[in-house]
Amino acid sequence: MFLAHREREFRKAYQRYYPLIINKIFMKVGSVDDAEDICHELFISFYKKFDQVQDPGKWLFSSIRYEIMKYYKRKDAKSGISVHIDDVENDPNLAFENGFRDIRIVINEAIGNDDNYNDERDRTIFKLVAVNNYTYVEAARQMGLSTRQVEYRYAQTVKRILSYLNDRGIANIGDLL
Amino acid sequence: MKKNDRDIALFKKLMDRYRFTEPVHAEAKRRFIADNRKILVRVLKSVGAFSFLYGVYLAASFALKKIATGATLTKIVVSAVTAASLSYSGYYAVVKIAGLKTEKPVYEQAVQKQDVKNGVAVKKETGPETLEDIRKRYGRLDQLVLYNGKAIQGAILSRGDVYRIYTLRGIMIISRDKIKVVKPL
Repeated sequence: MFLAHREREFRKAYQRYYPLIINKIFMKVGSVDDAEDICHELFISFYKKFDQVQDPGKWLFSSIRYEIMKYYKRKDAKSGISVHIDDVENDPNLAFENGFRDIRIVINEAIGNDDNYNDERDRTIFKLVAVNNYTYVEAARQMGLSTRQVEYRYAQTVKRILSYLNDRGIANIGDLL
Repeated sequence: MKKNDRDIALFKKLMDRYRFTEPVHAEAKRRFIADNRKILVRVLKSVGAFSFLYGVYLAASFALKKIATGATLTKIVVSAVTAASLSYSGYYAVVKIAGLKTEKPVYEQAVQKQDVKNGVAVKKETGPETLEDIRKRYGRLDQLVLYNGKAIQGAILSRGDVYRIYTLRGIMIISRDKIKVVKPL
């Protein structure tokens, strides 16, 4: 019974975080096969430590970097190819400098604010559509929802984020473009 | 363009402009969507938590996800049970309580008793083989057409508020108000 409960909870966590995790890893490593292998390794580690993990989302996202390093370390040892972890981990967003840093911070706050999402599913839809450029149909297939549900939830999230920006003094986002 | 759609389009541009987007190319998206279940199964096999039954459950669960109804397996089962219960209770209410059941002949329980009038022992199991047998035995053959459209052929034994008719299946008792037409054959 305990095992069944554990597996059920694990499966729920997997289905909730898989779309975000796999895309995040792919953005870092740039290879579909490597991303899938790292994702596989990451969820194995997660399963082993499942009972100790308080917040699965935080644990998974914070473990991505470690799993990537571990994966390439092992791969390098096998193939003898040298890969610079610093290059792999080079996130173009961190190098962003164009004078609009303050606005970027405000937008980042709006996107990161939990109040702008009804639940974790809304956040996943938002990240898939707005960040990873999934179409509504692709996001719906990934999430197991109908396209209309995805479209509606995304529209509601955007509405809340724009309202948040409006409260921060950004009445017309057209001005920022 | 609706205001909502315009806002979404502007927001998309904003995300691009401030480099919040991390676009994933189409082939990668297709693979990630297709391999969702495969990776879960690989993980479960690696940690030894995979079984045949669990595999079947996962296959069903992911098949539902592919249909993209947004419903879980549990929800589907609960909905199916609820729909079946409602259908049956609706049928029961209409047929049993409101008395709108389609006319079903009531066979006389005591078909094995002797028919005094004709002196013929009628048994349900050993009834006449053809309508001609009935005609020969009773000297007539009638047809009752019911309001529900059903036609019953046999020899009428008695009339009144209730009709008794001898048929190939035994003696039937039918309320007169169910009978639309009586005609000899």
